[in-house]
Order: sequence, then C-alpha cells, then structure tokens
Amino acid sequence: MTCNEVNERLIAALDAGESCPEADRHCLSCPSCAESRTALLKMFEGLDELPSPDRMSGDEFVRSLPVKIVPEHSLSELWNGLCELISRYPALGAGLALICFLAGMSFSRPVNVTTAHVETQRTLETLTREIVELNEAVALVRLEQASASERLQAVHWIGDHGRSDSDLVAALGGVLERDENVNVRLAAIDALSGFSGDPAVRPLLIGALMKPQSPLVRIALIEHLVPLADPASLAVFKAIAADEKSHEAVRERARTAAQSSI
Amino acid sequence: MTRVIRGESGCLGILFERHRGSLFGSFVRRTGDRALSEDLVQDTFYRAYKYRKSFRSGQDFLPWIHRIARNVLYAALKKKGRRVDSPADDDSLLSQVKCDRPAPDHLSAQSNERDYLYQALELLSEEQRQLIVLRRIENRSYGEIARLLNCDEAPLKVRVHRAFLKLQQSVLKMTQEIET
Repeated sequence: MTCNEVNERLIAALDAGESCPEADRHCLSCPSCAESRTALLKMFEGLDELPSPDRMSGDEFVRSLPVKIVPEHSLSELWNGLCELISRYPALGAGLALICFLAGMSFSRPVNVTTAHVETQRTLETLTREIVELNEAVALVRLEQASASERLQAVHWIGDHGRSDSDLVAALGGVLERDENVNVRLAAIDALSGFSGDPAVRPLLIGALMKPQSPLVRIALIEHLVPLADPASLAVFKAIAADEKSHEAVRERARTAAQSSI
Repeated sequence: MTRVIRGESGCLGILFERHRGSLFGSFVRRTGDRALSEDLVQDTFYRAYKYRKSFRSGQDFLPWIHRIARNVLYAALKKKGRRVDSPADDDSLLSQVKCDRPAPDHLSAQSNERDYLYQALELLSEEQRQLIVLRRIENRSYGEIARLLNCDEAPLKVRVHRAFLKLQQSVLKMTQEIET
C-alpha cells in the first residue's frame, strides 16, 4: 500500500466512521503518513464540532414564510416561452403571424353603424312581414272551417291585423256573400269597412246589399255605405226603399239613407 | 430558482436545504452568534423569494444568493452597531464581507482551530463546501444528499471524497503558512 493509497483509505474510513487496520499498520512504519493521519483525524473532529443549523426541513421553511408561494406567470415569461416555441417550430410562428394579420384586418375595418342598423331593420321587417303573411294564410284557412266560431275569429283577426290585400278583401267578400251565419256576415261587413280605401270594397258591399238576405245584415250594410257617400249606393238605397218585398225596417233605413245621401 | 418563480414552493425548500448549511457556516464565522446566523439564513431565503424576479433565467444561483446573504449580513451587523465593510455592488461573495467579530469567550480555546477550518472551507469551491457541509456538518447520508442535489449516489461519493482531499490540502497549506 502506497502513501497516497493510505491517505485515500483513511479519508474513506473516517467519512464512513470506520477504522482501516491496513492504513493504521502502514502509519506505524511511516512517520509522514502518521503525521498526515493525525492531521486528518483533527480535521474530521474539527468538522464534527462546527455548529450545524437546526434541521428545519425545506417544507417547514416554506410553511414558515410570511407569504404564500403561488404560481405566477409574468408577461415576459409568456413572451419568452412563446419565442422559444416559435424558434423551435417556425410553422407555429407563421401561423400566429397569419392569425394576427387577419385579426388586425378585421379589427381595423371601419364599422358602419348606420349600415348595420339599416340591415338589422330590414331583416326585422322581412321577418315581421313573413309572420303577418303566415298569420293571414292561417286566417284564410280558418275562414273555410265548419265552425262558425272559428270563422268569426278569423274575420275579427283580419279586421284587426290584416292588410289591405286583394286576397283578404276577396275572401271577406266571399264570406259576406256565402256564409250561412249572420254574425259572421256582420263581422265581415265590419272588417271590410276597415278596408274602405280599397276600390274593390264598395262594389262588394253594394252587391251584397242588393241581394235579398237577413234584414240585420242589409241594415248593417246601409249603415256602412252611407258614410262612404258612394253615388252608386244612392240608386240601391232608392230601389230597396221602393221594393215592397224587402223588410219594412230595411226599407225605412234605406229611405233615410237615400234622403241623407241626397 | 426558475421553478420557484413559477410557483413551485417545494423547489424553494430544496434550495434552502441545499445551501443553508454553507450560508449558516459563513454567518457563524462572521457573527459568532449561532441563533443570529439561523435567523440570517432564513432571512436570506425569504428575501430570495421576495426578490425572486431579480433572478434571471440561466443565471448562476450561488452568486445571486450570496449577494442577498451579504446584504442580509451587512444590514444585521449594522443594526447591531458593528463595524462592517460596506458591500460593493460588484462584489457578490459573502466570504468577502469582513467585520470585527468579537470572539465569544466560551469558544476561545477552539476558536483558532475553528477559524482555520472555516478559512480552509472558504478556499474550496462552493460546490465542494456545500458537499462537506451537507455530509459532515449536517451529518446527512449519501442517499439524502443525492436526493437533495438530484444526482446519483456513486458519483456523489467520489465528489465528496475529492472535497475532503481538497480540504485536507487547504488545511495543510494554511498550517504551513502559519508555521512559516
């Protein structure tokens, strides 16, 4: 065993807290190694005597901190991370650049508020018109129902919500001419009077008045025709007033209407 | 330290366990006060966390923590009214802080030997000093040290052995200097 080996063995033995009989035997015959051994023992003893800090574990230390450690990501870290990713994957960088460009283009385009508002209004109007048309179609279907109540409701709906439309006016004319229920016919007269601006309405009312039917309906027709002051209705009023077959109440109302129309 | 900045609290605990021994030794040597040194170590790591954002990614941890330790020591000694050399900004090593520490009476018999040993330890590299402190002063097993330093046990034993050899040479050199 050489002197170098002795020193190595002694350090290993002292570190492990063991003895090394081979090295001890060598030191008995080698004064230099014996001196070195003594110094080494002194050094290890000195190290053992040095004060050591309390064995507070790292976790205990972290718990003792007056602040809580929470994950945080600064903008610069995010930026650095992004730069690192882009340097690793250039295609990602190109993709991000394209997305930024497109986003910039879309955000930088001037937004015309007025145009957008008008477009919205138009869409709303279209939708409203479609709803009304749908309801009118439903009302027309209901006019054909067997139930007088259904027909009456349909006539009322047309009078309240219907537009001055040739189909609706024609449908109401048909009701006035053919419906067997007096109340439905009376409601049709009311509904048609709401469309008096339509040129097709007056001939319908006059034509219905000329036909022999319920006195109530004829009186209602006369009542609605008088305010319209249509010249054609005057002749009809006079003819009814002179017609002996007509109901007396109808003749009387026609006579009054004819006099007021003159 | 970068992971500490990300919020991994366990990493600060590991750093504390790795370096508190050598920092504690340095503080004891300069203050002669064991309790104060314990506080200074904890204060150093608390400040390290507090000023974690001053740590740049890729920077060496040891010079950074030593700069904090030096400032902590400087502030503590000044508070106690001790004379202490003002720390220069370009001087980051704790070992270069010099103060007029009075030798405690109960340590006077061994104070010279202990001082030599401390001085010899400070002649070692930071890594070697850390290994000796963990192994011999804190009496940790190789398994514990390997886990703490995140390395394998076999190469660690070699590194510790070299650190002891280096320390032996440093002690020998100092003894020869004193004798001459």
